[in-house]
Amino acid sequence: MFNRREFFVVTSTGGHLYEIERCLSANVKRRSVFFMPLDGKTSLISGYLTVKHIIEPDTKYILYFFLFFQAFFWVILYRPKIMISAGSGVCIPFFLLGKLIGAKLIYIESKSRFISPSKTAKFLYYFTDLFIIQNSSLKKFFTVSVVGRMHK
Amino acid sequence: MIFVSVGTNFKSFDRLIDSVCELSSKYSIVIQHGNTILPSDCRVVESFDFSSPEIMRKFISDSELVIAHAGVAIIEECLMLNRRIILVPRMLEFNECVDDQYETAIHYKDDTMVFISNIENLYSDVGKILRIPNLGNKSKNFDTTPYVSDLVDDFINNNE
Repeated sequence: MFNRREFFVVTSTGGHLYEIERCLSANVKRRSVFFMPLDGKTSLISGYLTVKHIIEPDTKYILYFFLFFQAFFWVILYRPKIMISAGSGVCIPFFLLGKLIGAKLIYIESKSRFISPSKTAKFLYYFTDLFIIQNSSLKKFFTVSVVGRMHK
Repeated sequence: MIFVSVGTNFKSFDRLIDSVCELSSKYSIVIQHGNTILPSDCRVVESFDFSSPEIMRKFISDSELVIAHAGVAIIEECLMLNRRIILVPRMLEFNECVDDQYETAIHYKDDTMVFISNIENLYSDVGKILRIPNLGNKSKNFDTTPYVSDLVDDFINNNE
């Protein structure tokens, strides 16, 4: 009925956006639908199949309710095989729905985390198929994780 | 030129902006002020709220010193472009962030290109750091860990 899109990349703006840009190869990008909050301030996202804007809930939990419906729409429409995120919480509804339809989930914890993990990472750790950390000091929190680093 | 960046955080960072405005009487400053309102009497050379990564990179590259919040993106760019950076972490106690940035700043503290400043000492710290001769590329943040992109590509290949 609808065209299936292979990959979803879901990320917040700022440092999360910076990290995901350096954590994905050109091949993955061009096969991905890219979801980021609509703020219109950080432009020039290029190399992706298409870019879609979503709600940025920040710490307003009520907005997660609306984001969930947005995520539901896109997940049902495109039925992705793989979902990738470097945070923040915007990816949670996508990942939970993705898990339900059998998508593989890849989460990349922010490089800014050295001593304590983020709330999003702690929650999604139990759902992801590949969990990547960028500082080995987090191994004690995420025993089944892989340590990687960003491209320069 | 000194380039100042407060990142894209939805919370304002008035402490840093106010201190930088004091510096603007002595130094040539370009500022990315994000969601913080720039005081009308702040005499900076150029200011903008948000920009693309490419333009940010150009300002970092053109600057002799960067002053910024302790965000990974700006720190990594400075290390990559071999620019000295003064970090002023956003603090939870001042309602400047959701997650305290002190942890990030501490991680980079041993790098020769990175300095952490107490906001009260920023004025004198800038003068001292600018007097330090060019340090060259002495960043210690090099390692042999695999790239995340390779890990992701391998995972995808194994699951197709």
